[in-house]
Amino acid sequence: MNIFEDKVAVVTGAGGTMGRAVVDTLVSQGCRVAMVDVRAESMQPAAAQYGARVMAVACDIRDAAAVESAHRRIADAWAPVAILVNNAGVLTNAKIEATTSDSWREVMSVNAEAPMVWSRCVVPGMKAARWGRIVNVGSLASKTGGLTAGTAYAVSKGAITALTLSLARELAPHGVTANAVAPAYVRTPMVTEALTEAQRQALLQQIPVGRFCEPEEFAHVVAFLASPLSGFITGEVVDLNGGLHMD
Amino acid sequence: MPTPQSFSLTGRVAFVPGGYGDIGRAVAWQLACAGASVAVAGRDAAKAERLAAELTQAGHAALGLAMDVRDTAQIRSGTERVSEHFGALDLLVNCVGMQREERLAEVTEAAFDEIVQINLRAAMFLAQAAARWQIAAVKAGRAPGRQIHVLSVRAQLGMRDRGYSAYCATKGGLVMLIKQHAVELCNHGITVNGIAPTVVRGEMGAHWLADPQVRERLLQRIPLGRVAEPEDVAGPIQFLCSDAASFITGQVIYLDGGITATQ
Repeated sequence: MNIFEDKVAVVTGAGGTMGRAVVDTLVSQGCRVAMVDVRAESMQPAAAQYGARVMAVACDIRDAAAVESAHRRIADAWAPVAILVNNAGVLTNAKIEATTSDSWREVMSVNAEAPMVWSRCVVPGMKAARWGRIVNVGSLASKTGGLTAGTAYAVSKGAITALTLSLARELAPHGVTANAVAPAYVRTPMVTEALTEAQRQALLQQIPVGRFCEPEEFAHVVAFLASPLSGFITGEVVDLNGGLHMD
Repeated sequence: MPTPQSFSLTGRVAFVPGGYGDIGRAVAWQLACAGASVAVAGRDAAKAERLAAELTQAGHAALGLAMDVRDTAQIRSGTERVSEHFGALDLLVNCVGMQREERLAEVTEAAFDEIVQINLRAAMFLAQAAARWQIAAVKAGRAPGRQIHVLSVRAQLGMRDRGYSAYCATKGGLVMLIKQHAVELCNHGITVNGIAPTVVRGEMGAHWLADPQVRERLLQRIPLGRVAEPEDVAGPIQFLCSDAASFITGQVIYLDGGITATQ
């Protein structure tokens, strides 16, 4: 089904579990997807499966020049980017006393600065087309301070919320929407599989629906926010947490 | 509007009270086109039946029925009729709502009570009546249902220089009703969420758009630079009704062209 009419999407962190789920969903709905990940080998399975519908772009998104170069390569090869999914992220569970300045900078660089740089790259093309969708990945941690997640992570996701609002305000007159998904405890090696069994059981008791979020459920929300169904929604953070937090 | 296959509602039964208003009508068509059987209800039987006939003529399964949501007995008999007719009631989409503008100093008990009755009390008992069928269906092995309420950005924002006490209070109350019902129904896998639009083109929003100065001021405050069309509201409701949204519960999605985000 070609909902997205061959639009060009960029998905960062595409080689991870959540990123791969987003790639699968967007490709299945008619996008051409530029997969961006620092680990080239992590994108090979999707590249082999989808062939010309995807493009694997190895890129260290902490490096603004590398991002700009990657963006040029995608736009030159295909077309201006219509959908940007700022999915890449690093998680640290270090609380304040264990947070080093180096780890703080690393987390902020990947989780907060890179989405800004990617947005800066794609906005001119979206404005020219008078259509664009930016979907950022926030987190429940930005609202709770992090149940198991660390200080730097929670702050970086708070920055994502503010970035989303800024982009929404600035880009709405140009037909570009900016929204975020704030998931909690998606079943991935980076998140739930890194918890101790005691933490997992304690969390499952706290989550009203009694289970963790499946990567595909996360991808569905991203697809919704990128789709024509959500054209009047901007500046919104969609909470995807099984009822764990309702504000 | 084509929609992703994962948002399909094939085999589901939707109950749309307030279903022949501008928003309700768009919702009924959206859900029907996504594959759901749709029951439309409201005080005016002829309007409900006319819309159902239009849907049926287009090849969809539809039912129109009279129901006055001020009467809880009618709510219960309405849900019963839907369940008996279609064999289930999976999706409740509550599009019922009203407003009578009165400034604080002039608010009357009669108007305040009427708005509470329509906007909040009816939501409570619609949710209860639907939940009884939905819980029984889950116990019988059917996929969990969904409850969606249509709110307003006035659930969160007061209205400057206007008489909106009852409207804002009842829409704000709906937010808490959604949260409470979400936690009460989560053990059954049933989700409860809301959609909060700003001014939507149609009968209820007409007074905002009729005056050019008011319309201009309104458009200046909406970052996307336009008012919502009923179809803008219907799309997200389809998403929340679908299996794709099964991990979202107790939430209200603001559908307002960026108003809330930029206050």
